[in-house]
This record gives sequence, C-alpha cells and structure tokens, in this order.
Amino acid sequence: MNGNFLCAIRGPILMITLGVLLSIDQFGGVSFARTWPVLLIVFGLFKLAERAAPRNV
Amino acid sequence: MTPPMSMPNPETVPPMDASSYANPYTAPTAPPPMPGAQSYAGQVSPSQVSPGLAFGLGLIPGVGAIYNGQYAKGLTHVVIFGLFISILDSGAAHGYEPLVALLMAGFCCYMPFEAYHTALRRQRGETEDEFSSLLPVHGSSRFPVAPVVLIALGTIFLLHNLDILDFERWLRYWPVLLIALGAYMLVARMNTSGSSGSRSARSGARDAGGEQ
Repeated sequence: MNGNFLCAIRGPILMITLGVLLSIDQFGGVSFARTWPVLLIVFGLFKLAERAAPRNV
Repeated sequence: MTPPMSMPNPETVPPMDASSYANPYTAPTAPPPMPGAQSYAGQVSPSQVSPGLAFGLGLIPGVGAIYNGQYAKGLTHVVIFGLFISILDSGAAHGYEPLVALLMAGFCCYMPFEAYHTALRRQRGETEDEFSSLLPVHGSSRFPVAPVVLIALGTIFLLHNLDILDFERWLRYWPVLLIALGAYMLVARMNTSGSSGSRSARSGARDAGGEQ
C-alpha cells in the first residue's frame, strides 16, 4: 500500500464517508450537523497514513 | 472528483510531458522528488506572475490564493472567513465580538499580503505547494503535526456534538494551549540551537531559529 494508492483512494473514501453521514442524517439517525467532524478525522488519518506509507511516486 | 492526470487548463499550464505534471490533488501530499521538480502552483512561467494582481485579488477572500494556484489554501481562507462571519452573526462570541472583529480585519489584511508574497516567490521561480504557509505538510518528518491537529480537532468537535464532552466547561482551560505552545517553542529552540545545521522546515522551529 504505497502513497499513490492512498492518494487515489482518498477522494472516493471521503465521498463515501460523506454519503454515509448524510444517509444517517436522512434516515433519522444522528444529524449531519453533529457528525461532520468524522470527515476531519478521516482526512487526518489519511494524512497520517501517507506519512507512514513508503513514498515511491 | 477529477481523475488523476486530468486535462490541464491550457491557459494556466504550459504544455509539458505528463510524467512531470503533478495533479492538484496529489501535489499537496506527494513529496517533492527533486529540488527542481514542479508542483502544480509552479507551472506558470515566472514572468507571467504579477504580485500586484495577486494583492488586488487577495482582497477577495480566497481568490488571491487561487490566483497563485493554491486551491486548497483558497478554500481554507474562504472557510476561515465564513467562520468569522458566522461567529459574529450567531452571537457565539459571548462578548468577545470586538476581538473576533479585529481578528477578522487582520485576516482580511493578511490574505492580500500573503498572496503578494507567494506571487513574489513564484516570480523568483520558487515552487509553492498548495499548503505553503498554511500547514507544514512537507515539514520535518519527525512529528506529524498536521494529521495530529486534524484528528484532534475532529475528535473534539465530534465529542462536543454528541454531547459527550462539555465544550463550554473545557473552554475555560484555553490558556493551557498557550502553555503548550510555549513548551513547543522551547523544545524547537533547544533543537535548533543544539544542532544549528539542521534547520527544520516546520514553522515553530523556523520561528525559534529566526529570532536568535
């Protein structure tokens, strides 16, 4: 799992996370106004993983 | 989301072979492979960059950074500007409105000057990544500052939003942040004075090194 792979899946994963959070909002769970920091956490985890990943660009 | 190696804008990007072209989405995270390698913001030839125009566009939140090709930074500037307006508008400042207003005014002055200096650096032919003077993403690899800050912020906001953590009560402890910042600056200064040869690119260490 190198840096390129992480860069490639970052956008889709963030989009999926956004979709899941908004789905939870739509189907009467926790509202998106309360769950949006999950996006920050996911983004931070990606940044962390990119540091740990070997960089063969 | 734009796929990698998408069509570069012919107006801003001079034609070059695809292998050396850095995609704007990968540019912030990919390390600079060579000293002379271009990031996305450095694609325009230096003679086309106008610092005056960057200053003028910088008066509009985010547009100065966009002129410099730093889309992520422009977005961040817009978000910060919007946060200031939201805080002032919603009365969340709780009597600190003058402070927030002054911070906002300072931020409005900061943006054009920041765009101006970035444009000057680009005019000199230096490459600017998308997060320059925003987050130390290319900084020293000793400690991952940006990811840890992002995760910490996200965790704090999430706990607050789910009513697990009482934000108002913890807000009283904000001066602890100043203590932490001082401790960090102290450590950075110790490191730079201990090994003056290895100048860290991280801003804290750079500040500590510059004040000596």
